[in-house]
Amino acid sequence: MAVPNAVGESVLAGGGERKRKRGSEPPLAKWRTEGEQRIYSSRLIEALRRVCQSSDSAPSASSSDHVRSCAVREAADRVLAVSARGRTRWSRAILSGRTLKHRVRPKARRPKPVSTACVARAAAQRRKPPALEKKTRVLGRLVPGCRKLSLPSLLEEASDYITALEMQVRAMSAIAEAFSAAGSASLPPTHANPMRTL
Amino acid sequence: MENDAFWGSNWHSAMGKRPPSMSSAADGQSLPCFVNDADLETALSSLVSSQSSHLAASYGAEMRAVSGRLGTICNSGEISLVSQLHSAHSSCYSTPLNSPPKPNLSARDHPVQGRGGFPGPANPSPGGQLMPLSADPWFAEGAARLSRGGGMSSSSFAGQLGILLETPGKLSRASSSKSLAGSRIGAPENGNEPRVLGTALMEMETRSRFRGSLTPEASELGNGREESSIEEASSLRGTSDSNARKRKAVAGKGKGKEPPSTYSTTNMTEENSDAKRYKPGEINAVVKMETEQNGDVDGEPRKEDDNKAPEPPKDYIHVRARRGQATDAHSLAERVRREKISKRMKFLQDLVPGCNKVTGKAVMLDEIINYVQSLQRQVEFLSMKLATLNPQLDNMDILIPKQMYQGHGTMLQPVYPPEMASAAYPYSHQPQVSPLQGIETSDLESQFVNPPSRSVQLAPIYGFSDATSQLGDFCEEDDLQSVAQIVFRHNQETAFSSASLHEQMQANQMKIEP
Repeated sequence: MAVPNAVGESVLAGGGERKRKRGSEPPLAKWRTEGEQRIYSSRLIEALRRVCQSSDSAPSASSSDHVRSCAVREAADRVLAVSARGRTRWSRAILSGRTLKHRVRPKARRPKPVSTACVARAAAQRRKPPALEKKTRVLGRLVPGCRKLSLPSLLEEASDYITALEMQVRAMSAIAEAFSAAGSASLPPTHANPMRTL
Repeated sequence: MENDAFWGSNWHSAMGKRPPSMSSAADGQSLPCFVNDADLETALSSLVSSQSSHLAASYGAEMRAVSGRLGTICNSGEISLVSQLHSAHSSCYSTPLNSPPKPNLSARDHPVQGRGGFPGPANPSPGGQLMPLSADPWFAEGAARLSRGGGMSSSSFAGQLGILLETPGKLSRASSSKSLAGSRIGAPENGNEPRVLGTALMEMETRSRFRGSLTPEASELGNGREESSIEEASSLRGTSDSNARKRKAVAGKGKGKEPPSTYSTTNMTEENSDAKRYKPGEINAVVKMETEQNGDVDGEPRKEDDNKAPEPPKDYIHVRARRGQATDAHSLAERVRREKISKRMKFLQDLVPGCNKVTGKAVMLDEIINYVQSLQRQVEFLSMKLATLNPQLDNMDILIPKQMYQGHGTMLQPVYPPEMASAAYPYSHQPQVSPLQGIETSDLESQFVNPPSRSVQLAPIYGFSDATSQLGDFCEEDDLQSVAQIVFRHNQETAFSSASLHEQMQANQMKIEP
């Protein structure tokens, strides 16, 4: 997809954002590398184990799949934010206030009437059409921590977030596939062992 | 050669002394390429004779004026330019018109693709019509592409490209040329000439240097340029300017590194100045020249084009003070902001699949929102899948090499009663042992239970792992379990012996410690 030219990539990979003032492309190249995905996968597996342990230690409440899946999802997002190294707003928002997304979100939906006022003003100014304004708000809600952000920075955050999400999906699907493959392979012999030893 | 024919018809009138050198150069250089260009040459000659006469004259006038200013350098550049013009467009048309743009498009950077496709499809139609006009942009484009590798030169080439695209035949702007001459970013190859010479000369010179690599790029540029030339021929100056701007942005984006800085500098300078002052920066000069030219030729179409240029999502990065529009800080800043937005939109367009055909900020935003939502839904689905898979599977199945092998049997199978675990592990691992998930490890435990000494010997390992687990609940405990699993499996295959097991555990511990 987004592959800068050879020279640019080498420079960008080496110097980060040396030459580009916006720096939107080099961080995205980072999300596509194999090493980054491997790092993320390993961290994710650790987090998953911890989630399993915690859920198993308190079997009564957390044994439900939904709770565990939420915990898994949060762990995955947190690991993703850690992998972002805090350079982006959404990663910092995830790390700082992960609970906010789940609990405060209903309250965040209230200021819709406010947005209409803003919309009217925007329409009057004709700086940005109201449709764009609405969509900007929606996108700001989707990307964590980017609610009250201007469109250019929001777009930049969104691009980084999209690449990070893509990497997350790739890593998680690989892990899930490996788990399922390993599970299907190891289940028959493992069942036999306890019978023998016991 | 018909090349000589049409070149001679156009250039001979303009440049007296050129044809001889030109024809000789043309013969030498363009001969091998003309096999494919025969049809093109005919079309070009017909068009050239009809249209380019005045252009050539203007070119000639401009070149004379410029050369008068620069002196020998210009003259040499002109001569080489003419010769290069032959080789340029002949090499450009060495392949069918459609092919050169495509590989160029593929070779271009991704951000350019949105716009890179623009000259491509448009090329075939105007392909064989305005050769001489397009020759200049080829060089500019080729020079621009070439300069990708070289930092500063890229910006200069971009500027040249812009200049070239904007002034095909409008080189009678002595003041603009002067501005170009005065302001230059510093292309090492061309020195001062490209600035002053406006379009064709610069491009020719760069062409002379980078002919080989320029061929595909120049063809692509040339094709695009033909289109712009056609538009120009039809006196749609604004459109051609927009195309030129597109190509400039394309070329600029193609650089990768330089254009953003140059564009940003351009933006800043645009904001700072009224676009009337000459800043050291070719983009500014280009802007200046374009502005002057626009004012010179048609103000209205250009204004219209400028007015509608920012609206469509395919905006141009290049900020320019458009004639007839407010040049105060507000509108300039607004334009900068709009172009920033459009730039990021284009980047996102490459990111989100299936957004190449979408135009319009609102639709693009919709697509982005949908894509983000779909990605988040995928993550949720996968997390649910993992959550259901986790307790069933032993996480140790997936061993990442860099994980440290430590820990104890946290993931033990529930089949085994905790007493065995407690017997095996003298330390207080019971709360962790009880959630038994792994199967092999339980066997390991049973093995450990039988020889009490084993447990004592293994205790340090587990103690170590226990300490670490208490420290931070890291994965080490699981790692040891995975190791134990592997060990146990291996031991199952071979006759199990506590000694071997212990050795393996020691070996594993060796792995743990570093």
